[in-house]
Amino acid sequence: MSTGTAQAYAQAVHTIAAAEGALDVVEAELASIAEVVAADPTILQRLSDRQLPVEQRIRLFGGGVLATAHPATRAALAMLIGAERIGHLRDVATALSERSATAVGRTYAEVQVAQPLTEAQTTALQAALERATGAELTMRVVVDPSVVGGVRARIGDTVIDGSVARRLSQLRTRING
Amino acid sequence: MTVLLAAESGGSGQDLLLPAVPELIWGLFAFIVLFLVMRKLVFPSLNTALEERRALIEGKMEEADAKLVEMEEAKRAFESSLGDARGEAARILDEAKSDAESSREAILEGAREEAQRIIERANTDANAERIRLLEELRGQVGALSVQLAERIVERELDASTHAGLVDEYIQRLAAHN
Repeated sequence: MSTGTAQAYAQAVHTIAAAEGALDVVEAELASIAEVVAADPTILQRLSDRQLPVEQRIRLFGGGVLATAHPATRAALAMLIGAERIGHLRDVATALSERSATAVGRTYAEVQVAQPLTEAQTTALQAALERATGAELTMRVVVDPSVVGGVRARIGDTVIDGSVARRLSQLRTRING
Repeated sequence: MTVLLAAESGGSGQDLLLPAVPELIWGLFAFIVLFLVMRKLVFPSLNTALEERRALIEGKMEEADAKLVEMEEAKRAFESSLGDARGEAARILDEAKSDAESSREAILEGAREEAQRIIERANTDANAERIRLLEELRGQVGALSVQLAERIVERELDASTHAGLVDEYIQRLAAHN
C-alpha cells in the first residue's frame, strides 16, 4: 500500500475514532492487533483469503482479539478486510499514530526492541530520543524478535538503528564483500 | 714379238732392248702431237673439271666448316641453355624449398600462436572459474558464518544483555547530543 493510501485509511479511522471519543483506545488497539497479525503469518493469510466471505473473516477476530475491543476498532478492521487492505494493517496503524501525534503537536516515534522494556528504560529512551530529535515524541514500543537485540527507532523518515540485526547485516555485507 | 724376232735373228742384247731410231722419231713425234692435242683439247677441260671439282670440294669443305662452326655454336648455345635450364631448375628448386620452408614456418608459427591462444584462453577460463568458485565459496562461508553468529547471538542474549544493549543505545544517543 502506498503511503497516500495508508494515510487515507488512517484518516478515515481517525475520523471515526475521534467522533467516538476513543482515539487513544482505537490507536492502541489497532497497533496491538497489527503486531499480532504481523507476528503470525497464518492469521494474515486467513484474513486475506478471498475464498472466505468478508463476514466470516471478520468473525475470525470476533472470538479472540476483538472480544473486548472498542466498536470503532472492530469497524476499522471490518473496513480494511472488506476493502482487501488487511495486509497493510500495520501501515494504517502507524499512519493513525502519526496522525494522532501530529494532532496534539507531537511527533510519532516507533521503537522496535527484541524484548519488552522496563518502565525506566522506556522513560530514559524517550528522553534520549527527544533530546536527539529536538521534538516532543509520542513513542510506541513494539516487540519485534527480528531486531535480535538493541533498539531500532523510526521517527518520521529518520531511522536510528542500534539493533543487533543491523550489526549482523553489516557483518554479512562485509563478509560477502 | 720384235724382240723375239731380233733374238732369233742373232743380234746383240742392246739391240733387242732399244727400238729403232725411226721408230723413236715417229714415236716422239706421235707423242708430241698427242701431247699438243691433249694440251689443246683435253687438258683445259680437264683442268676446268679439276678446278671445278676442287672449288666444289673447297666449297663443300667451307660449307662443312661453316656447318661445323654452326654446330659448335649450336652446341655451345645448347650447352649454355642447358646450363641456364639447370640453373633455372636449381633456382626453382631452391625457391620451392624456400617457399616450402616459409610455409612450414608459417604453419608452425600459426599452430604455435593458436596453441598459445588456446592455453591463454584455458588459463583465463580456469582463473575466472576459480575466482567464481572462490566468490561462491566465500559467499557460502559468509552466509554460514552470519547464520552461526545469529544463532550464537540469539542464544547468548539474555535479559541482562538485552537491557545492556538498550542502555548502550540510550548512552550513544546522549553522547551524540
